[in-house]
Amino acid sequence: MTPFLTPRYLITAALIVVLVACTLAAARHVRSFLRRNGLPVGLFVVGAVVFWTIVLIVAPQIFMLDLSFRFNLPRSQLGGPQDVLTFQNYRSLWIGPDGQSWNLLQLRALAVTLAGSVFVVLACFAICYPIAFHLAQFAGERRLRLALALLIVPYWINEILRAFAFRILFTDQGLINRLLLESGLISQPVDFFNIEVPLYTGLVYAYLLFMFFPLYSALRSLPHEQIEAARDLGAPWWHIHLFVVMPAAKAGIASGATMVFMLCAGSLAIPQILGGTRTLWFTPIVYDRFFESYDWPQGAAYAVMLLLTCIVVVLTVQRIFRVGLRDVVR
Amino acid sequence: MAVSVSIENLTIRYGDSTAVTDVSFDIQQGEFFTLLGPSGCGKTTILRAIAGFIEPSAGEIRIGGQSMRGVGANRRPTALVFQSLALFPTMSVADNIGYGLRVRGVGKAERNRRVDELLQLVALEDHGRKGVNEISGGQRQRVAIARALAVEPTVLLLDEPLSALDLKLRQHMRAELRAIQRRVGTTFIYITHDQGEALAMSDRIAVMNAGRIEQIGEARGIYTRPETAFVAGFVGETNRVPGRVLRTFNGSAVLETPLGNLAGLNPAGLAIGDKAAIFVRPEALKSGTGGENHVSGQADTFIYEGNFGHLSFLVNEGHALTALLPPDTGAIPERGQPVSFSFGAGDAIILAD
Ligand SMILES: Nc1ncnc2c1ncn2[C@@H]1O[C@H](COP(=O)(O)OP(=O)(O)OP(=O)(O)O)[C@@H](O)[C@H]1O
Ligand SMILES: [Mg+2]
Repeated sequence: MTPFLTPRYLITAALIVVLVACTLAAARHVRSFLRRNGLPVGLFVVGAVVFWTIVLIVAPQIFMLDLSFRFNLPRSQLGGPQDVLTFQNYRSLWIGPDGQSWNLLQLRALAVTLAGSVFVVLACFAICYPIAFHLAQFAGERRLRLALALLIVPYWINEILRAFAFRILFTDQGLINRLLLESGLISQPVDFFNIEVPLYTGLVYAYLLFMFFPLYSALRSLPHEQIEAARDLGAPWWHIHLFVVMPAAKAGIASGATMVFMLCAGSLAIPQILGGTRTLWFTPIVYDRFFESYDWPQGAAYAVMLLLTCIVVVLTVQRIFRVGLRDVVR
Repeated sequence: MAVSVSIENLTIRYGDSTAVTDVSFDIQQGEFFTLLGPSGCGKTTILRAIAGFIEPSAGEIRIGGQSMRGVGANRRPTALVFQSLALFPTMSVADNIGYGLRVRGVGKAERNRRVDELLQLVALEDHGRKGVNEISGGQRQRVAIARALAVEPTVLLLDEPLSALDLKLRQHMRAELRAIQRRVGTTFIYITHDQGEALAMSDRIAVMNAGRIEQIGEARGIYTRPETAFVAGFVGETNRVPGRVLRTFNGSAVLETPLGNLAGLNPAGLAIGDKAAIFVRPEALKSGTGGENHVSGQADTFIYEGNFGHLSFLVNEGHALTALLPPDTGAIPERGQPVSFSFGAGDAIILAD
């Protein structure tokens, strides 16, 4: 069998056909777009968008999806009689290798990853909200620029480097333990890694800005007079925040929370660098499938499952808070 | 009647600049009181100080006899209708109106009842469930007023609430607002820079200029008996002729002007030789020679305004005056045609310039 007739290629080909059909269906818009922007610019934009969606987004994901339903076969058997579709890779996520017992470790890792990411989202929000609110509503031009610079500049340092710096900070001999020992608050160094303080601090720090900016821009567009109006009507501060400011900033909160949650659940380097020996995070497990056990199909299946559960969580939460996808991308 | 709001020697500074200087006035319970003045004269500043958003640099604000010093905006018995309205876009019309009650912990049933009453008061019975962006500008205006009235304030503060509306709606809302005020009997402090609006709605008007109050009084008094040159010029249309006091005699004076000697009232008691100006309303200029003062010149432009017309005419070396021509005026004078008008000394006021 020629390799070009495998489902993988057929699916991709079908997808490309669909996308091209969509483009043709939108031809009227495309043509007016080309007219408005001039042919060279217009062609570049249309071409870039099509290339971006098909080659960089859709195609790799399709390959991954397809891969996740296959056995891990040696190259010589690819496309052979044994290369058939299977759910085995997904099942191995929750059924242990003996085919009977639950694979509790992996399920726990997934649950911890989701719950931990929710915690990171909440922590990011708790830190960003007061700062963003103050800067958006009260700060003058100069203080605003200074604060934004202070927020952004640390992120010029590479993420890995920052993570290692954090690791040094939290070791037995690290700055924090030394300070605590010196001040006499503790008599023994605290094993922060065992209680996952560095992991969560690192995650929160890494994704803080992804919460800050959507939140800031949402709060920025809230007219200050609305806050005054609420206050004038007798509202105490907490009431104003809960019922006037936060509903108005809902879209910003939702997009920040979604972004932080997704990035956090998919974070690999930080759990690996800042996690303790007992730390469970799902991404290192996926990583191991790919690069330790060289079982790409299984890795693909795990990655797909992680993505799906994250999407389910995000959509559920959005449902609860009645935020549409439209709000999130606004 | 009891004094509702009392302002005593209020001074407000922003950094180095003084926005309000030594302002004092008392407002009676149930009064419709208007602050009138040009843009930037400090009206909003005074209103925000009464609402509690600005701490006075000096002076005292009392509401119902109580000093408001140190009382937060959320604990004052005032409600402010913002120029931008500042309705909450995330809430329905009814929830906007009920917000102040919800803050006060009023139960749902009681709250709904009050909101329904208020919706009826502002004639929006059928719009309670709509979003605030699904109603018209005039309706939004009324929602803002109802929202402020819901908390039953001792004083309702309105910061140019009609300025964003078109002329027709504005006139309609003036009457509406006045009717609402009569029905609820709450003290209204109303801000506007539109003198027509002030004259049409207010029990009393305080005319402001550059952070100070120039004159306080009823509409008629402000219009017919201005006490300062600023008030005479700002409220209503007027003709102003500068000069120097030539003679004075019991309450009147004669001014020597480029247009000849003109007699008028002298309420400020100006003395001979003082620099002054004489102010006379266009409608006081009668064609012919009936009054004590005569002015004549060439007709310039005529502006037709439906029920009457404004005629400008030039006297002596280009000094322009305006007269109001009533609708029964016969032929309108052509440009350049000689015209002559006269006015009584009692219709003109001489004020320090
Ligand atoms: N926050 C502020 N900081 C500094 N100066 C201010 C501030 N707010 C107002 N001012 C100044 O105080 C003066 C009075 O302002 P205010 O807003 O009270 O005017 P206003 O009479 O309401 O004018 P308008 O009719 O245009 O609304 C103005 O000269 C203004 O420039
Ligand atoms: Mg103002």
